[in-house]
Amino acid sequence: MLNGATDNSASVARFTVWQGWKRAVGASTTWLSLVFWVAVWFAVVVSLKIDQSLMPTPVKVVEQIAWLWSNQVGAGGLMVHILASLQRFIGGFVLAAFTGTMLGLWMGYSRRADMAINPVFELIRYIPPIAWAPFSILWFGASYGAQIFVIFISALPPILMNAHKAARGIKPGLINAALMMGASPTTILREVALPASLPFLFGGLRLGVATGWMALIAAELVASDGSRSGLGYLVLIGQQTLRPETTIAAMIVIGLFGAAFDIGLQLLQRRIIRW
Amino acid sequence: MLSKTSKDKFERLSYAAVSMAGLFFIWWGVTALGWVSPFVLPPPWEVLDALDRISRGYMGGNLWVHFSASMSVVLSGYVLAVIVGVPLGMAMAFLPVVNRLFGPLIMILRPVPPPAWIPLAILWFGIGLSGKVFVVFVAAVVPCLLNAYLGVMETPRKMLDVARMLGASRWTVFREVVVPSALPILLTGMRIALGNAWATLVAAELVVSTAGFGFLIINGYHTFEDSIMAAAMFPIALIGAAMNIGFLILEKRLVPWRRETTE
Amino acid sequence: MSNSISYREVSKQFTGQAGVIPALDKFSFEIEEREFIVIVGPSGCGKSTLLSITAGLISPSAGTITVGDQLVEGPGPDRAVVFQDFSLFPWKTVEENISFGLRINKVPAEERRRLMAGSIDLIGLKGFEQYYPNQLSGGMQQRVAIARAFVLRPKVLLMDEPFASLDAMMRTLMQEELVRIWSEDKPTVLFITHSVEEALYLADRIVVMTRRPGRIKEVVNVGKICGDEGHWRHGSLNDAMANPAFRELQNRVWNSVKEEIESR
Repeated sequence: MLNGATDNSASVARFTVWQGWKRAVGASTTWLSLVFWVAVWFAVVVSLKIDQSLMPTPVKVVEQIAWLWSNQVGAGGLMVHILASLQRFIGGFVLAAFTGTMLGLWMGYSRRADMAINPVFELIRYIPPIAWAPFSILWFGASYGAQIFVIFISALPPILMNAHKAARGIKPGLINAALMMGASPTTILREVALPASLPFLFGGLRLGVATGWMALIAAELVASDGSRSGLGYLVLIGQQTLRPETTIAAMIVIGLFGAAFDIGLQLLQRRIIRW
Repeated sequence: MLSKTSKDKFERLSYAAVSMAGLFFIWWGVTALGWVSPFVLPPPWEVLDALDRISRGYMGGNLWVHFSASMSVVLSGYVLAVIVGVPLGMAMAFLPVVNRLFGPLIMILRPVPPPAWIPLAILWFGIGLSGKVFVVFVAAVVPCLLNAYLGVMETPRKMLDVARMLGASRWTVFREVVVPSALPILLTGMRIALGNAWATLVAAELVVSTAGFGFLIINGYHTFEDSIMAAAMFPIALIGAAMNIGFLILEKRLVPWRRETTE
Repeated sequence: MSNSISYREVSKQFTGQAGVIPALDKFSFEIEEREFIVIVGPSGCGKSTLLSITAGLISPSAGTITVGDQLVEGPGPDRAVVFQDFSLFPWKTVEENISFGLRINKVPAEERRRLMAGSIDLIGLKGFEQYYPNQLSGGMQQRVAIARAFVLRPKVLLMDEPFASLDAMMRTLMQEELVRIWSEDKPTVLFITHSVEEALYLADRIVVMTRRPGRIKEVVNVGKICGDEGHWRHGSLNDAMANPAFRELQNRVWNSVKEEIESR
């Protein structure tokens, strides 16, 4: 979900998935189109007599989702896996959100901080987050910590960059107006800087959610913590046991959550930013 | 983040240099003094040595072999993604039928992270190259398509009116108005797609591969050679940076009329 | 005859979320060739709609428009438009913007170059041929837009508040420039503005429109009032404004428009 529009958060806000979803869900052609593709899927699998261990029918996938709900694979049922993934994701994301926002805002305000930290940041930024996975296992062991690290490293850059842009982008006129009225620095931060930065911050958070979610899945594939849990684990185990219906079922759940996060953030953004 | 005066530039450079030097000294000091085990943090000299070893031939190939292994997959998947994604995205913008047909499909597939496709690709294509090319394709196609679509949709109505007023045919309008207008957004999407492609390739190589930089990392991990792992991170970062910066330069050349930057 | 414009019972409604909005109501008018017609009226009275319909960018709900003896059915370079926001192609240089129309209308390269050079001279932008629009000031951009329209030798020139986004001084300069450029070839002009002075300075006749739905409220024949001395647009704006006849007309037209704005 890293994708789309620009990495400029203003443009991210422009192309809102929510509006697209709202309109699309309402339109009957959307459903028709989806039914069409599912039918194509079904027809191809059946007519070409594709081996069920290679590609299941849609029916089988749906059955599998239901089955996974009440039965165990690895550490538990579907709920267990969902919770495990969510736990990891939230851990890493919250850390990234906090660190990224603080650091980014600071770098935006303080030229020195910017000049000192930016080079290091630029260096690290171009390493695909998943490349850190083996190292993180070395540092944290095959554990929860290792996975959080990967998610953290992945969600940090967009959040930090957008916080930085936000801090930079505040019109000096606004700050001057507040100073003229006699506001203290903390008041300015709280009542001027923070609200002014919010649109950018949200943009960064949305991007961070997308990259973080992607990193979570990759981390569960590559840097398992041995607990045999998680949606990424389900994807992998499906392939290893030649049961692609599990894999596809897990992918669908992953996709649903990814979309839900994004839509959730957009709704939150609308609530908080009313101007 | 850039300043124009040379005094500013000097200041920036010196801060950067001090920062980097500081980090490097910490790295060196901490490992030289033995405060951190070389398993956790390979010392700079070991990493250098590892780079040297790789360049002379490691695990079936030298730097060039691993480089071309990784790059060939990325480029194949990426080119495929551009060839499929850009025309399809534009078609979706021009023809409502195409939009209604493919739109929902893309909206459904888009939130699924590319790495999630890796096991499926292994199942379908085996552990060879085509599976990785497929995953890279999936990673790159969506930004290309989406931004092609957006670029066309955001063509200002006024520009179209002007062209029609001047008497342009539909094909001329497409070639001389829609395409230049869409170019900035499209190029940004293609740049993001390339970044996605590279990151996904590394992920795929971590899962299964026999050559390439991701392979070096995971192999180094399995053979307890941290220095190899660390050494491989450098070319990965460098290539990622080079691709991004190269693309930005390309954008500047192709879109000289834009004053704002897109980053 | 060939450049005259004839409006016959032109009506236009827009259907939006708020229901049906009537923009024009049986607008009928005859413009003679080479006439400079200025339309003034309150916001929303349909002046821009009228211009768009004349340009062929939108079609009327009822009624017809003929230019010369040809029905207006779509856009074309014979009815060139100059927009308020210039609408230059940002990815083309000044030169490319001006010659674009020539190129797509299959004018051979040699002649294109000649016409283009002449155009640049006419608008006084020699030396700026390779500049991109975002490197030029508002006034310069608008001149390029005018040149782009003029180089095609249109029968009709349609201008929708072309100087509204310029500062006051530039605006006066451009008005005088426009007269000079227009005098070269004298296409029929349909000009929209909110500025009464601008209207009086430029027009042969002024059409005052009512509030929505737009109808003709009154027509002021400026040319006739200028009389034998010749139209005051050939002098400077300041001189024209010093003329008592000008000031009298100004009051008259302004009050006419004010009535429309204030009537509820």
